[in-house]
Amino acid sequence: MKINAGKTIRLGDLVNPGDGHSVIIDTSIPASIGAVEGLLHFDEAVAQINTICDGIVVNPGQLEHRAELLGGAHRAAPMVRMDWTNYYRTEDFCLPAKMIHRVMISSVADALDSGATAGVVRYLMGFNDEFEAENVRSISLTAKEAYRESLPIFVELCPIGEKVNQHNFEGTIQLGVACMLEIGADGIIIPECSPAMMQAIGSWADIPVILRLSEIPGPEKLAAIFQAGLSGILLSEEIFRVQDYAAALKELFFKVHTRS
Amino acid sequence: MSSSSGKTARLNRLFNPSDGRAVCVAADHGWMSDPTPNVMNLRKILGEVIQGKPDGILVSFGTAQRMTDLFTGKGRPALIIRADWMNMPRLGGSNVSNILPVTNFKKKATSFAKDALDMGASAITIYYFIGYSDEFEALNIEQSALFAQQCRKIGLPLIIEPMAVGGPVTGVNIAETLIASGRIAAELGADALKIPYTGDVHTFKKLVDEAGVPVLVLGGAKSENPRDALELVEEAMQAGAAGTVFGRNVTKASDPRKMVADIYDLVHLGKSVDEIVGKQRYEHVRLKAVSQNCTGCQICLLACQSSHTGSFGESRARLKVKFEIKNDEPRNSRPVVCTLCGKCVEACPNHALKINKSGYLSLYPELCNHCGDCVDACPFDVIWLDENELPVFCDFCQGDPHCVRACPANALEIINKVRK
Repeated sequence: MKINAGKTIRLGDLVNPGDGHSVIIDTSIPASIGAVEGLLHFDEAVAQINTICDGIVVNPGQLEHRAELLGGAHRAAPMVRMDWTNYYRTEDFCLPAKMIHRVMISSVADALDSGATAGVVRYLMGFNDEFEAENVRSISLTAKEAYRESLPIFVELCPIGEKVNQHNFEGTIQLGVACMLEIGADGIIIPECSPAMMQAIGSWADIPVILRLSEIPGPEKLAAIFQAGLSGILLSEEIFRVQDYAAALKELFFKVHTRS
Repeated sequence: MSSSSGKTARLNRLFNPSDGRAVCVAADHGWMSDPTPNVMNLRKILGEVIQGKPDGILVSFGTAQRMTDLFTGKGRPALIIRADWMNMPRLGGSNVSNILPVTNFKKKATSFAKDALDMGASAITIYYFIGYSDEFEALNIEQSALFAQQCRKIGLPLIIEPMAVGGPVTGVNIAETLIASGRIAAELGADALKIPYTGDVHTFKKLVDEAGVPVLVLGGAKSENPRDALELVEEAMQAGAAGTVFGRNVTKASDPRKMVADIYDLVHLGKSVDEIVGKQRYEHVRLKAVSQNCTGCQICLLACQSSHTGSFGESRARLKVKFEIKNDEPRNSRPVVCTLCGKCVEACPNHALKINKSGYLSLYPELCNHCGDCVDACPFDVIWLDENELPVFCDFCQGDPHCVRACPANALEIINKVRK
């Protein structure tokens, strides 16, 4: 796939051009549910990992206020979370969500002004038709603006709605990949799925595909991810609950980038 | 702090660079509630307020336009523009204002950030309502994010004001909700927060700590006595707040200049309330059952459940109506309410229940081991465990008990806070 120079350079800060691999950390959950264990103090947590991963997903406010921790030749590239959802407000949150909503909280111009290397948006799948249509429209508009402004856009597939079940889960991921390839995404983040599905997606998608995980993968899983042709791993906020997470992440980062 | 030089310069105008603190006054009520005397005499009152040396004053765009002179010149307060409007004080159930009641909660953006910048503002303030409904909150998030983007572009500080309101917000979860909302606002791009006090130093400290941006405590409704308002400031500062944005407690004060000056002493000079107004002690709001008036209608239970859960029924009420049974027939009825006897507090093995300085029972959910000892200890049987096995108890509706308002027979009374 041919993309413009601005996107190429920015993507190169996220997905190592030498090996085509990437390790990304997501710190954006507090926008939905407030501070979580391990991310009570954003700056302290990020300062421990910003040289041992390729990208960090941050909310617009943190990117603005803690810009000094991100970017540069030897630090993780900031990826701005461009949307918000209350999906994560489960029963253990003080105000559990009764109806799922998703709204945009950043624009491409705002992300670029803030120094973001890429934007990340969610494709929440399996909810009602109107919700999905609005979600697709919103991603499409963002992708077009991002194309004009040379900002890479990663779409995170979230097959989490009431219409998704164990029988159609993987098919839904496949559908999401197809849709986001058509829409103009520069990278896709997929949830954990079977090796066969990873293989199918890895051999099909001609843009970086990143696997979202809640814990650091063991050697076998790591091998399966890259053998399937995926580009890397996005670790969710659970990583910050691991004791000595910086050491664990450093080891992973080393393994990922020395495999090839 | 912000990396933008425009924001940094303007924040330094608002927050005293020597201590990073600010005393602000909110005078933006005129278009959201009734035209009370403090609204109609605003110019005169603000003239007095300014003599107390506040760091900033929050006003609407129109007031800023008409009263520019108040903000002009060195040593004058920084101008903060309220960039949105809402009708919450006019909602039917509100006790603030009812000339022209409304039934639907609305909030609208009324100024662009650029309008405020052109006016010479040092910051704008917008609301973020959480708890009313998921849809309303999503709208608030979207609007807040749009303002954050505008402000980033032009270097204007954004102060977000999280407000936890609505049926699902209760005395049990309000502190946790405010703590979460503060961080959410910061993640969206707030440069500072204007936020209600959580009710105790412990939870407010958590809010300040997790927000990661300066926190200004707001005063809320006019306190019965200036000391109450000053004690709130003192506690908030102990918890790490960066200052205050007090409105009605200043603009409705008998001496607005002195009230601002007293807050200034607390915030910038670190004085204590006792140093400022002398020692004083309180008793707090309590409920009194007047059994002979009770008709057994149980409307109090419906009002309680409705106000806390938004649902119709009595099984989740925080008080009871007990009936004397004679010959298997229910006879004389009487309301049974929390008396704040403290037995539950004593029974709790983990100190998860405390009576806070506002005089209400507070739950620290993280300390609760769900043992139910508080339920067993309650002599009035008015504590129960919810589906998460957390105790649910009377929160006195934060001083305005719905059961009292709903009772048609005056079988419940408020015993007002009394000074010793």
